[in-house]
Amino acid sequence: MTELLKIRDLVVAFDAFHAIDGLDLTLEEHEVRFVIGPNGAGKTTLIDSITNLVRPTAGSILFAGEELLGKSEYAIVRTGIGRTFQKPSVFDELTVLENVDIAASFRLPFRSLLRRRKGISDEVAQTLGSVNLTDQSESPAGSLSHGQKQWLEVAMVLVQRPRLLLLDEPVAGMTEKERLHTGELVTRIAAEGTTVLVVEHDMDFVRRFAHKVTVMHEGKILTEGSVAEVQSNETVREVYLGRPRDARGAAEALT
Amino acid sequence: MEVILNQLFVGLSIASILLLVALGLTFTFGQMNVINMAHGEFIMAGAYTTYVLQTALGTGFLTLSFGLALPAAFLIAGTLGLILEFLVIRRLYGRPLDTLLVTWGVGLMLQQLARDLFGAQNVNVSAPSFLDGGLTVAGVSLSYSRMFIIGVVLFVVVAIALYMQRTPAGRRMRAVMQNRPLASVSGVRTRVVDRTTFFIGSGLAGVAGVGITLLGPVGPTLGLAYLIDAFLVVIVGGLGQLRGAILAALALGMANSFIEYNTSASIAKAGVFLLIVLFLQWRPQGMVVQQRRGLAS
Amino acid sequence: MNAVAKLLPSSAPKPSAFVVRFALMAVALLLIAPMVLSDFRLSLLAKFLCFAILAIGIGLAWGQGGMLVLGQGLFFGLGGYCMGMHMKIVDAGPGQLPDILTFSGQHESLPLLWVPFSSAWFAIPMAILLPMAIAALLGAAIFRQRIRGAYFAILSQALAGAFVIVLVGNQALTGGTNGLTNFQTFFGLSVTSPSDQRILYFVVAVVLLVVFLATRELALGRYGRLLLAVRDDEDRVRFLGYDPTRVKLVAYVVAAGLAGLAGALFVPVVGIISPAMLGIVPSVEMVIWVALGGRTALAWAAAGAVIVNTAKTNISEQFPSTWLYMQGLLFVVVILFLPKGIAGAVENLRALAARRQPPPAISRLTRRRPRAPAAAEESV
Repeated sequence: MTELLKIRDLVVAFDAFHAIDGLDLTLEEHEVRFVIGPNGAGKTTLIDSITNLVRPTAGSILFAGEELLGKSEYAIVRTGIGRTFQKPSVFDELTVLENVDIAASFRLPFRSLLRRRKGISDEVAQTLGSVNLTDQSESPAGSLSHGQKQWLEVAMVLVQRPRLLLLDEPVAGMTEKERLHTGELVTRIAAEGTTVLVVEHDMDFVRRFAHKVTVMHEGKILTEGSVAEVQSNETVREVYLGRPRDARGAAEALT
Repeated sequence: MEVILNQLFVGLSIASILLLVALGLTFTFGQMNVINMAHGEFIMAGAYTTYVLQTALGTGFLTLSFGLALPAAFLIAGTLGLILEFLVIRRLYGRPLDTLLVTWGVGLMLQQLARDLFGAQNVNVSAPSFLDGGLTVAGVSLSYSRMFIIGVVLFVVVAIALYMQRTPAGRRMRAVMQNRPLASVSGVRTRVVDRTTFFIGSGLAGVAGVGITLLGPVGPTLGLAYLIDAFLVVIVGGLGQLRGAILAALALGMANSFIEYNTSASIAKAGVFLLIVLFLQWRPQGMVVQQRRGLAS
Repeated sequence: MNAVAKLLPSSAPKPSAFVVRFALMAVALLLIAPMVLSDFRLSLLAKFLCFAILAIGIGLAWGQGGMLVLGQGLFFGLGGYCMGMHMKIVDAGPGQLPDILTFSGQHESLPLLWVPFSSAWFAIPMAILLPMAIAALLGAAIFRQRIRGAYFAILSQALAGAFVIVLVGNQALTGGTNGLTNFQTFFGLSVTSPSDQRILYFVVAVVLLVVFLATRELALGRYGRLLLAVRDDEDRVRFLGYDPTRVKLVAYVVAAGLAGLAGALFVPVVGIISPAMLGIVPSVEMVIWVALGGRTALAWAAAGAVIVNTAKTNISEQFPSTWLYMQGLLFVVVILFLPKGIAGAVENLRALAARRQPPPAISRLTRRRPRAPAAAEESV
């Protein structure tokens, strides 16, 4: 297996506070990696700095051998990285279909964007199907439920066929059924050859769908390993249980 | 040398008027995200207040009427601001571009009101006698009226700085400006703070109007020219920043004064605009930027 | 009549609603208006249609793209002056100086700035390209730095203000506050003859219809969808791999080009171009035309220009001071109570009418479905 993403000595500082503090992370091609950690561990900041939503203070992020630091957001997406956001962000005024179609067209030359869309491409139709939104394709995205919006967002990223997919809490606020479906979707995406990095809070979800887990704490990597290894790790327990705010959830999650 | 000194003085007096107008704008913009285009008409209201007081008291009491005009203009313009906030702006919070258009409409009506009240022709306000003449320093004549304006602005800036740093109301204002939701859940009554800010900011425009009567005749559209330049000060200075507004007003005033001396008024206008666009390439958020942690999204 | 009939596809049994509406619009503009309106009124309408061309540009940039363009007067003026300079040179005749340039006594021969405008092949393209070039420069500098919203609005406004000051300040070259006026001919047409003015009306009306169709096509294409997306969430678009600077730039530049085109047509129709028509105040006025018509509907944006200007002409003829109050009030009322303009009001009335009928479509129900409450972010 080859290294797809290689992060070294990453530091993201907001004044004196280091949200990420010397982090190293390597993702192999075709890998599915879950990143967990207590609140404020820097999980979302990690995704944000890969996609240049926040600008890292120091370090290096190599993607397929190419340095990402200093590239603009859209250029990073064009190298083959897609991401979703914690708060589902779709274009409420466009239809579901239009949302996916815009996403799918991002490699078209600008001139051909000026023309009208003719029909629906197979790729768009297929992607809509894979997130169960075919029936809603003509509805405005603003009318979707919270979970459906999250799927739509995933569809918008999927249709771009990224080599690396970054999912920020994909099942937050979803019903049990929706979670299950999302988990299956992630598994399927990975099986088709996309490398996936999932930041997730929901330990139940992590236990069900994760193979390899990275635990973050205070901007650093605490440990990496299988779900079982991570669960039995003493430091991980301390990190969760030591913080009263997360104690209840962690106790439930880790026992 | 004399030329430089003279242009510095002119630049300083341009800057001080700009600053007075820009202060109100930068606070209402920074704190409430409101673009108040009727701010120019508050300047006009201040100028006409001076005119009305002078007409009422007669030319024998120029010093008295001018002295009264400063607080009166502050109160009148401030009250106009409060009325505007209450009637219109509070319905539009969160829609800054719409506040811009609505307040523009209010400004048009106020202009026409001034035309109906005072006539379409410009009126002249006489300066009190103690502001006649000037001081000659190193061969350069510094007029007392411009010095007076600079003095008033200095006083206002110190007062605002003290208000923001030292009084509980000022601290609440800064709190709301920096983080409205947090201030709100911490028990700050943001509505009261907003109205206070609006009152003070509008009032300062009135004070600027009094100062402007010393520089030329007063007309219904007096405010517009100052308004746009003051908005540029806000953009260059950085939102809601006292220090930024001061620096930007000085920079724009000086740039205007020196380019105009070397070329013409019209080239100065275009040149300053070009400088601003270039400056924004370097610092798009202005001279002074509020530090925010990027984590809260 | 034939031209209209051609627009309706003869084979299609049921032409789409748009084709019918467009045909009605074309009939109204090209047939009914010239028949019922006096020479004077028709020439006024031609002026308003010039404004409508400009309004379509504002509709694209502001309504679809969210960029509040407060300085369109600048581009309108550039177009107008390009055309005006050309017409002045032609009126003066070969080798002669236009009257504007003789007043100052500063010029012996045609000043360098004026020389290329002797040629219509230069003047007419420049009327459109010069505004586009300036918009491209300003837009690129501003959008690239992610300066947007009110900042952009104020900067575009300040540029229009500076332009007027430059025009006024260089009287010997530009005619100063008087601008360019006293035109005689426009490509062989006499601008003072009523029958030639009628021809000009048709030119403007056809240009407007073509501009409307082309802009609508742009707005309905993928680019148009992308523009809406940028308007609603510029940052999100960036993470789909697009550069929003480019997307916004196209709409802004097109709007500038349309304003220039409108200015170029305005000069022969109205016979004057002066700084008073393109400064800060008239530039903001242009935005309220579009706001009244409906900022998100291009046809209504154009209609708004005609409606506001018709009202302005009629009311200010009789009660000059009342109009200024009304105009001010228009800003307040439209933005506060009709944020989608007349287009929105019409839409609401239609919805109201539809509700009286038996419930027709499920799609309407789904559209009204309340948003799911924002679910708890943390579920550990």
